[in-house]
Amino acid sequence: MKKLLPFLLLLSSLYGFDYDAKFYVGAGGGAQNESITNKGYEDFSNSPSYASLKFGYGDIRAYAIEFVLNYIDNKSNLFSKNDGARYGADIMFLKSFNFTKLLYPYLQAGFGAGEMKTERELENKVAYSSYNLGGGVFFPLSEHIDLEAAYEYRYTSYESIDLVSEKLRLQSHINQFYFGANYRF
Amino acid sequence: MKKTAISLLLTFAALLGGCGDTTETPLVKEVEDIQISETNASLYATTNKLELHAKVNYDDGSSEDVTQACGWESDDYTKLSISYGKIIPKANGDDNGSSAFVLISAHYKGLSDSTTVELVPLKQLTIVDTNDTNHSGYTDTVYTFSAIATYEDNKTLPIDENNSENIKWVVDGNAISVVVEDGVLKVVFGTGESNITVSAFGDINQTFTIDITDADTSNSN
Repeated sequence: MKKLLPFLLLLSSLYGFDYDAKFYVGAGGGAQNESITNKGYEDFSNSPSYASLKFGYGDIRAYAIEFVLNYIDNKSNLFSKNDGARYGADIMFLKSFNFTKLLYPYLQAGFGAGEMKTERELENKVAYSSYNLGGGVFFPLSEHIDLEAAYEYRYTSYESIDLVSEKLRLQSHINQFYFGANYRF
Repeated sequence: MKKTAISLLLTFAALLGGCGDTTETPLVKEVEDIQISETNASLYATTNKLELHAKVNYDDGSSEDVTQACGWESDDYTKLSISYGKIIPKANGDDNGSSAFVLISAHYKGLSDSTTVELVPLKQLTIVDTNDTNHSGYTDTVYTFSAIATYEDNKTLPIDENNSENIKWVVDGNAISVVVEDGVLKVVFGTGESNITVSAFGDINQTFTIDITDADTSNSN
């Protein structure tokens, strides 16, 4: 019963009023700051810029689900002297709040995956996955267009790197800020 | 309004283009090559404890032993076989009785290294009568026999726990118990004449004959 109650509350919040769910697309970008959590690698810091393309469905005032394509202009050499850009995709779930018509704050959670080209002796690409948490604000400009500002934390885990004598799996914390615009159909 | 949004996006994208740090040195060390530690290795045709080692060198100057992680190959398994770096002689040198030179390689994915190992043939085996029996003995005694090997380079080595590959002991006669341990033969004989033969590769052998009498009879004498 204790587990059922929060679930019912969530359902009631989702269906508590009349939604106006729409498909929307969005574009934007921002900056990331990545720090490696593995022992001995703490000094490394990576601050790439990135761009995102979103495909979402939901109500700006209540909830949404988003499929996000990411391009991260990685310039730091994590694995080789010529690490390439990262290409990834996320699935995010948003819960926004209808406090005022001027802006709609939201919380989001989801997961993602992607890969980057690298020029190592034993690898030419490295995949990664992440758990994402964050929050942001939608600023509606019209019925169809809104601006968006968000913060996101990503716990990222990279594919194991083969060092022959051992496998090294790096994990990182990524803090990122996002600014963009959405068009709702 | 659309134009405003698009303008904002373009401005933002332009600003982002200038963001980002650049780190030249990779964070994770890079594998440079694999290397077999031993060069010009050689072993005798009866050696059973020669191990090669492989290490991986990294671009930060460090190295790690990868003997167990990499694959090993011999270019002639009829003469030398190899497993996890341990070499086992399979023949008595080359087909003419001279030293055989076999290429051994270690590899891991696209990395590899190789070295030539010399297999020195055995020329002669000599039985050592450790008990100084003078070819006679008694039934209630454990007799120990060892052997000495002479190789093509005229070096002699005892047949022991490090040097007993391809060595065979045979007791032909009345033996109550026969144990071969680390290349050394231990026998308890019954009465009568017995022949002890040590051999390797079929054609190198020596036989020792011993005549055993009843222990009780000898004691009464």
